[in-house]
Amino acid sequence: MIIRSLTRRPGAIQSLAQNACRAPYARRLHGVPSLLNHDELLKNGVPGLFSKKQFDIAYTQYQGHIVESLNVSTSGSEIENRDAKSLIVDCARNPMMAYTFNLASMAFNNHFFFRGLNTNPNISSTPSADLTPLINRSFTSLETLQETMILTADAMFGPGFVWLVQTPDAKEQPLKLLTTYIAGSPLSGAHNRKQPADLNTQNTTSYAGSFGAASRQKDNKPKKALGGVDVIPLLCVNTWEHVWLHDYGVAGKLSFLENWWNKIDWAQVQQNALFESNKSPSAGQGFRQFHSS
Amino acid sequence: MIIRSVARAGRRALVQTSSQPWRRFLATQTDTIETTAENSFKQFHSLEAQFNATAPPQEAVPSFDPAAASAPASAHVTDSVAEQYHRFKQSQALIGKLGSYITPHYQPHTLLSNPPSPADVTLELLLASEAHQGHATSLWNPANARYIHGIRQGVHIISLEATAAHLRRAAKVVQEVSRRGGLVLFVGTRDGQDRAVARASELAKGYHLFERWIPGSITNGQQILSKCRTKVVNGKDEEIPGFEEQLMERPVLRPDLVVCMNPLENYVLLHECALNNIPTIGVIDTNADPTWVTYPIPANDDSLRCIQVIAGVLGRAGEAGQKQRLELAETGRVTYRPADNLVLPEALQEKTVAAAEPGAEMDLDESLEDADELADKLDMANNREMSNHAARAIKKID
Repeated sequence: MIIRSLTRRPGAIQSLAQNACRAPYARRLHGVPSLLNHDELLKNGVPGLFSKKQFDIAYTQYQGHIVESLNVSTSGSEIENRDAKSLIVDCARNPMMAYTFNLASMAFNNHFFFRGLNTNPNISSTPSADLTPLINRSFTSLETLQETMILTADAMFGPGFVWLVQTPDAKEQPLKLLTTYIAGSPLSGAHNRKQPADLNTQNTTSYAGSFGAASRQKDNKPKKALGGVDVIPLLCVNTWEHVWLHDYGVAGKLSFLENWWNKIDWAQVQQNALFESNKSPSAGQGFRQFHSS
Repeated sequence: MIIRSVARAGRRALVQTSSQPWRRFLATQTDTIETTAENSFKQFHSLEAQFNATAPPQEAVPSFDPAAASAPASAHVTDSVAEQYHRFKQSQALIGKLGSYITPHYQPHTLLSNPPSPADVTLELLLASEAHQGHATSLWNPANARYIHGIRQGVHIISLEATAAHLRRAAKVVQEVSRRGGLVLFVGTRDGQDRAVARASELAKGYHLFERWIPGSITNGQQILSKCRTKVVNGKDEEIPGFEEQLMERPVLRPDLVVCMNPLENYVLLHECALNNIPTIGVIDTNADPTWVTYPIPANDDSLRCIQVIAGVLGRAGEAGQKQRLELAETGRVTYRPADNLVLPEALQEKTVAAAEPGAEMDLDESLEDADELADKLDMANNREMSNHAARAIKKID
């Protein structure tokens, strides 16, 4: 409803154009980030997943479009040189900045997806020894995780992302699957724009689960410190149509997802994850580390 | 997703995670209530056995604990804040730069948090910091003619080659004075110059002043600054206690070098320095008098960015000099002539007498060094009072 009224404002289109005119000579601060083996990707696409044209559409053109739109919408304002992640966290709660949030979130999510791909055809990646027990504890096996993640992504109607996230505070299930529709973000600071469910299929007027002792269990969780990180994204798959339409066709979403599973860079997942050994041993000793970092 | 409880006979539902799919058992025939309950109960047990078999044995299923629920969650917050911050920093390092590549650009805070060093001074940096902007041509001081490049839109443009050369020379002076243990005072009394001046003195281990200079602090120092605490330090800048009585008779300290960011407003300070043979460095605009200072730096004193660059460069030079001095002190060599007319206090003297037999030579040298350092080092402590007026505003130091 809010979005509709914004676009129906008489000055909405004009102000966008004015923005572009107001800073015609402004330096374009945002640029498309480069990936590992970017030259090979431009020439040959991602072997086994994307052809050259598909990669061009899904990354070069789309990321370029998002980044240029970010430039146009932010240049000349006080947020013109903020990186995408801080834009996500700052604009998540502000409906007037919804457009900027969407752009920043799509830029972040798309780059995260492409960074998590194994673009080297000579390497076949498998989960590391640190990661396998976490997967087994949360999903009982890697095959179950594969099945669940792919079927969840296939079942999502419409564009979005499916994330494998680590929740270090939950000891019984350290890894979780998270769906974000359209331009939702899995980051902790943007939780009100997580968009985890298709609201068209949810019953928002239902009172189920709101009464009784079990409904009060929520208070058992320890409070997250302001700015704290309780969700660490490890892996994601981009289910927007432009990512797979050219190579796989309109009915080819499932085959795209199956191909994608074989191209996951588990070393990158290992890097993204937080392990006990990486953590500082105690608050007192960790204090010195903060100053050096 | 709500997981249907397997047993409908009023048993407590097994706590499940939402990602585990469970199949419901549907009965095709209608049974009596008792047989239905029994069947469900049997199914529950068999499923429970299956679940326990597949789940790892050491994992305990968490249950609702009323005692823990009533305990304040705030205790958990304070314990984990440091951990959360550490996690945030790690997460920032991993995913903070994702999304787009931000081209390098001017970030104002970096001039204070990470100022440029003399080696980083380029004409591009000075131009971007507006160091070339002079005043209207009618307001000039003709003595500055040699520093002026030309006129544009009715204002004089300072030659950036001259600025760079003079800035490098001034940096060398600050570095060398710091290396020899001299006291450097950074002065900047205009609005907004306080942070730059304090940061420069922090780097150079010197002193700063950003409020009004009290006239007579040098020429009439004995009157104005007599109440300030002084201390005696050794070559490694460690304080040596026990000199209080001797310090009371010593004269008040004076700076060995004064760096002034706005000479136009500090004529009295610069004049006092000249009367007492204290060299001065100053940022000279096109309307300022270059003869007021010993080492002029022709630049724009009205631009805070320019002042931050110049103060940063001189602070970095002082930091380099201090580093050299302290490195030499570690090896036992002192780069300056220590204070004279200072006698080691009784306590220290007894110690040296007691240890005289084995290492007499060494102790003698030590006492000489200590005595020599004192006079110069007294200045360092005494200059604290000059920044005492400003001490209200800035706490910091050390």
